[in-house]
Amino acid sequence: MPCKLEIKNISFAYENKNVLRNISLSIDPGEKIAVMGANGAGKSTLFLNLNGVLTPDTGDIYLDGIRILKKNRKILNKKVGLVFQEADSQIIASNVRSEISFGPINMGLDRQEVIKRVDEAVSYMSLEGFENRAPQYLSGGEKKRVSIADILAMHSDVLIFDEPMTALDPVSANDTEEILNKLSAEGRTLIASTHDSDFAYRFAKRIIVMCEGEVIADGTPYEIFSQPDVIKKAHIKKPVLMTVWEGLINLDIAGNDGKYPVTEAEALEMLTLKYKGKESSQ
Amino acid sequence: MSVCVPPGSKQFFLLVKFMLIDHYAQLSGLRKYNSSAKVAFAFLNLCIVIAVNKITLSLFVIVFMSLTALLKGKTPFKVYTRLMSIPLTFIVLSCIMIGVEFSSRPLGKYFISLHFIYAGITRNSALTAVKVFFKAMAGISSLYLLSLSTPVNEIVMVLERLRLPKIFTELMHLIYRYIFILFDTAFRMQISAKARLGFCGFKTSCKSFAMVAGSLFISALKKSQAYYDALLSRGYDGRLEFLSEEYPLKARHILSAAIYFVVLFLIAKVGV
Ligand SMILES: Nc1ncnc2c1ncn2[C@@H]1O[C@H](COP(=O)(O)OP(=O)(O)O)[C@@H](O)[C@H]1O
Ligand SMILES: [Mg+2]
Repeated sequence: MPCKLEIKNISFAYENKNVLRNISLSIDPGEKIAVMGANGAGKSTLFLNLNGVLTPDTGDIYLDGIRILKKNRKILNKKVGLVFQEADSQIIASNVRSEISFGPINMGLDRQEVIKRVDEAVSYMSLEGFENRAPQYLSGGEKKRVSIADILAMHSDVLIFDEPMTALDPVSANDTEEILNKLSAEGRTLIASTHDSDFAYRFAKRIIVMCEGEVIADGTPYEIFSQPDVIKKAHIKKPVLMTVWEGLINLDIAGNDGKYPVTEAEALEMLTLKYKGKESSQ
Repeated sequence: MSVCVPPGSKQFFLLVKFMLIDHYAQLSGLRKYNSSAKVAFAFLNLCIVIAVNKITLSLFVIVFMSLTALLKGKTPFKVYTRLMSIPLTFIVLSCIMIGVEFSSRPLGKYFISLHFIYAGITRNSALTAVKVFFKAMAGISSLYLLSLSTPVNEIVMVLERLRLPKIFTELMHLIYRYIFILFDTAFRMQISAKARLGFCGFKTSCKSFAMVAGSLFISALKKSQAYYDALLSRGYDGRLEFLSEEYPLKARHILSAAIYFVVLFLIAKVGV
């Protein structure tokens, strides 16, 4: 059952360095969100707060209306799963099966249920045959799959991916993107941080832009990428497809009805529709 | 790799050896045998080798263990001989010390005079030396068979099942996981230092090594923080518990082990 995540005015500082300033967000069940921003903007720190590893200095986090305090932060661990940026710093056990079982065991499930969940996660992430492998004998893509399986086995409703494609080869990155889309289609809330505008543009329904610990923009991909000042401040790039489509509009090739394609296939379809339509009417 | 090992880094070399063994254990043909049984087998075998003072038994064990590792375990011949040769120097030297006797009078057939005392080899001392040599090699070959067929993480699981103190096995898990990550980091740093001519000449080498060691320490600290975050993020509350499962114990394997021990017993009875 998906849940609603709300954060109100949270701030967080490491020692005496303010990293999050007064952030408020409301995340509905089933949303598909990309978080963007330069290195050091505070994305990872925000995620650690959302997952309950860190506790905000001020402000509150609510999960389905329940206020999260230090003593019930384990609810966050369980309901909001976090896949770390570096699989190597997330994987703690010395073989894949033990690794995936760590979360479910901490949730206090009985052995039968733990085994069931581990098996499910293994097959969901196509890790059959790697169960007894030690992490150092896995490739980068395989480690990423293990780190995702870790979280799937906990049946979290909100899944957070910290820069999921970084350090992956194109094929593994593609696989990961497919998995994210599949998980979202199954109704879970997805949040992924990324520097890749093209990915954010086609993946997310909503983009949150952070800069120096603050949320400076929050909206649909089209809204975000049409603000040059936001793009500049957050050190991000305009998606190629959007730039090209704007060029096509300026050249009067594409229609200017405010409808932007999200994928290359969609763009082609829109163009074909327009020109096929014209030809038949002539 | 040997060219970029900085001075004083024998540990690096040992680590490489350790990783090599673990690597071949992962690939071993004996990997999917029940690991508790493998540990029990190696341990029992070791006890028998130590207790029984017969060269034939030691020889049999060496041949059996080597052949099993090579043929069943599919450990490459070159790797196996290289691994076996590591303790060889040490054992040969020790056996020479055992074989040579010192005395004030000439002893045995072969001796040399060292002014005040005579060093000589007697039949008895030579026999003891040879016995010790084969005994040591037999023990080593049986432990190699275990470590070349069972990755360290599985051995740790066996220890867990033996109810060893939690702190001990948890530490072993962490060390095993982290040895590889740190080694990897160290190796990268070394390459990066080497790429900037950090290991030309003894003095620069020492300096670079100190720098690599220093940053390795910092990175280890940072990694331990990340590790703790990773534990917390999945609801860690002081207990490090994992699912551990065993490969099934097969009747065929028990039977082979039983036959092996019967043969050992016969050799112990009739052998020399
Ligand atoms: N454990 C830590 N201790 C102190 N400062 C930290 C720590 N982790 C991150 N920071 C600092 O917090 C800021 C935000 O970091 P982070 O949340 O990792 O940003 P992002 O993920 O957006 O790149 C950075 O300036 C970083 O140096
Ligand atoms: Mg980050």
